[in-house]
Amino acid sequence: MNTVEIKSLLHDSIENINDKALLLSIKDLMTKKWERGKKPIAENGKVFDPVVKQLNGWIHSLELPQRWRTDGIAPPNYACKKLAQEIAETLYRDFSLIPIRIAVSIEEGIYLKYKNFDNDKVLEIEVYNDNLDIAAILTKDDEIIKSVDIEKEDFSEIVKLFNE
Amino acid sequence: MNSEFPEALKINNRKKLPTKEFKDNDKLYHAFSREDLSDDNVIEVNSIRFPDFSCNWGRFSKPDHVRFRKNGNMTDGCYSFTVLTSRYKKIATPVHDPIDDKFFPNYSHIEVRELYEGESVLFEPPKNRKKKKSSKARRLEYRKNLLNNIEIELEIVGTF
Repeated sequence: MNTVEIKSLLHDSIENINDKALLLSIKDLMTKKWERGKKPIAENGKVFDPVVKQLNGWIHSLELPQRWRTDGIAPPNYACKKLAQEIAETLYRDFSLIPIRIAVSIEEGIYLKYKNFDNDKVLEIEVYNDNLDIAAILTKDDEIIKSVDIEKEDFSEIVKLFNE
Repeated sequence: MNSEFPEALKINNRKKLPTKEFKDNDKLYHAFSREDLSDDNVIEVNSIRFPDFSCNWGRFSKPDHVRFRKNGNMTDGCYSFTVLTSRYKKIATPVHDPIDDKFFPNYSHIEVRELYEGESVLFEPPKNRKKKKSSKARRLEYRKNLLNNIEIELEIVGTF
C-alpha cells in the first residue's frame, strides 16, 4: 500500500488533522504489507479496515488521568468503550467521519470530537457509563447550533447538520 | 510564589450567604491541572464537570487561592466564569458553601448545583440532593456554554 492509498483510506481531510495518534496510525499503516487487489477479511466477517482497527485501539487504550481518579471520577467501563467504538466505526463507515480527538470524559465516559474543515463546524459526542447514554453537541465558532440526546445510535440528523 | 495560607479563606466567624447575594458579574474561580488540558494545551468540554462544580467566589478570594484546597497543587492554573454564565438557561445556580476544615478552611467556596425544571436561580438546591434523571444533552450544552465563557486567570506553573 502506498502513501496515496493510505491517504485515500483516511479521508481527504487527513491533511488538516493534527493529531499525534492519527499520525501514528498512518505510520503503523505504512509498515504493513498488503497483497494487492485483495481485501483482508477480519474474524467477524467484516472487511478489515485499518482505520477501524486504529480507532478501536485508540478507544480501548484510553486511561483516566491520575488526578481525576484521585478526585473520585470513575474510568469509562468496558461497555462504554465498546459503544464508543461502535459509534466511531458507524460514523466512519456510514458518513466517512474520522475523529480529531478521542479522550476520556470527566463525566465518566468517552469523548469524541469531529471537525468539518469545509464549514468549520465541530461535532462533539459523549458516551457515558451511566445507562450508556449518548449526547451530542454541534457548534460553529463556539456558537451552539444544537445539542441532542442520541437515541438508538441514530446520528443521521446531527451529521446532516454537521455537513450542511 | 507565596504559599502561606491566605487569611481571606479562613472562616473567621463569617456566616454563609444566601443565593440572592450573588451578583451576575461576580467571578467564580476554578482550578485546573495539566491533566485537564488536551494535547493542544487547551481546555475542552470533556474536562468540565457538572453538576456540583466546586469554585471559589471571587468576592472573597483571589485566583491563586484555588491552590489552597484538599488535593490542590501550587502549580494549578485557574480559570473564571461569571455567575451569569453559571445560571445559563436556569440549568444551575451557585450556592455559597463555606468549608470549615481544620487544614483547608474556605469561606469563598461555592458549588454550582443543578436546578430542576421550574426552579428559580435564587432557589438553593440542598447539598447532595438526589439527582433527577435529566437529559445528558442539556448538561453537555451547559458545560459547553461554560467552556465558551471561561477566562484564564492563572496558567499552570512550569509545564510549558
